[in-house]
Amino acid sequence: MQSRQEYLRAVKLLPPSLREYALEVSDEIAERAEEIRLRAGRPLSFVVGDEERDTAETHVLKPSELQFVLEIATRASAHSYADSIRMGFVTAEGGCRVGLCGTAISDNDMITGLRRISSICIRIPREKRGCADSVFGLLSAGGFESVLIVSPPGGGKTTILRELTRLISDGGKRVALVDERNEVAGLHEGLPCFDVGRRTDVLTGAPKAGGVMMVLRSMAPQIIAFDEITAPEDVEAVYLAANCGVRLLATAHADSVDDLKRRPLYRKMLEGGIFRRVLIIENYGGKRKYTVEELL
Amino acid sequence: MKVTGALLVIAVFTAFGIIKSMSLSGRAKCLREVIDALRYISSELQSAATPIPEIFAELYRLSGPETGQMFLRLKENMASLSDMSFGELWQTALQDRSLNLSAYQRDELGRLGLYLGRYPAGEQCAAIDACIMHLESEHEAALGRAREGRKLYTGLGLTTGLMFAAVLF
Repeated sequence: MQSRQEYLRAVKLLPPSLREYALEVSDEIAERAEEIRLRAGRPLSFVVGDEERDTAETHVLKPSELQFVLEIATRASAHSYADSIRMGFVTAEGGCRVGLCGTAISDNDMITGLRRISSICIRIPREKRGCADSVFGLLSAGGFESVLIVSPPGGGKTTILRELTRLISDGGKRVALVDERNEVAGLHEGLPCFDVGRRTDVLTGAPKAGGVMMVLRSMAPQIIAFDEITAPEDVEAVYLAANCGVRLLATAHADSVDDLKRRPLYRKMLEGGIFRRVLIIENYGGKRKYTVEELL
Repeated sequence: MKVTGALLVIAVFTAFGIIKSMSLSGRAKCLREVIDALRYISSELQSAATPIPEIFAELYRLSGPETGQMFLRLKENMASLSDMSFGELWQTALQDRSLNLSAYQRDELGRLGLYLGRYPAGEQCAAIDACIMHLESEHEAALGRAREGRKLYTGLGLTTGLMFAAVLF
């Protein structure tokens, strides 16, 4: 029931002409779909597990319909999301991440915006209560140590980060969630759309480095959680927090610990011994397998 | 008695003339309010990247009697954004009968619906500036018409009143 509601929340981002197709899908798609894909000149499709399924071939998407999706996601305020659009996505109400592709506008080799949207990927955020139960005991054995969650894109890192945040927070620790893209908590008018725990303070919209400093000063957290370490500035945020004596819970794109070590960005961070445990997520056609590896 | 009747007839016709001349200045007032609102939108876009629904909510609070209904409608209709595009919502709000604007002025404003909220702030402001330029000249013309009309309709009302009074009494 809840997974259907999460699906309906994403469907709200579609214009009326597409909503009717999205509402006619099978229960399996409504409950398991991870993404809604829109491409100009192609029918609407859904990513379920590893495969992408098309809907009615009769309705081919028009560019204006894709533009309408962006309008709904930004509440007709593209200018308020300019920085985010520049990075290729916007986070809509309810924590739905809307990935964008089209014609980039660039100035001096810097992307300054997007025009003529040609593809959209709506991520359906899923709150999966209990998905971290099997690993939480392992991760908190002997006291909670800093944990890095890794998987390839679409592996479910954000979902398990949200659930671990909730478990740690409800377990009595003060957690600060630096939710740059507002995907983890889905904060709307100050209230989180997802349960991230009773002792969790959420900061959205701030870049990780600045956000970490802000919550360290203002919220005195015991654990700081944040999604996606992808840039040197994010690694900087990791060092900042680790040097202040708080534990970390973060995610990164990688297949395994070896894959992490092959990448210069992560190698130095791992060598620094900041993360003691790595939680690896493997996706087998929508079924997740979780493995915990000790780093030291 | 006759004098009182004659004075009454003159007063009634003069009042009609004054009311008619005031309706002409209503157009200029409405244009002024619209132009001020557009300037407000432009400054909010540029200085604070304020979301459009918040701008409309604030404009409804700040707007004068001529444009209040339009911004109230826009503020309320933003909740239906997923059923209608912003362009359609904007056009619907411009059809408000209380808005004292000509078809040409409504068309000029209507074109803004293609830009507002869709593009970076700079491009929206450029479209707003172009619209303001057109509406400013319309405002000037409306003020001129109101000035001429005030004399014309007041004079016409007074003259008609005098004629009727002369014939009747």
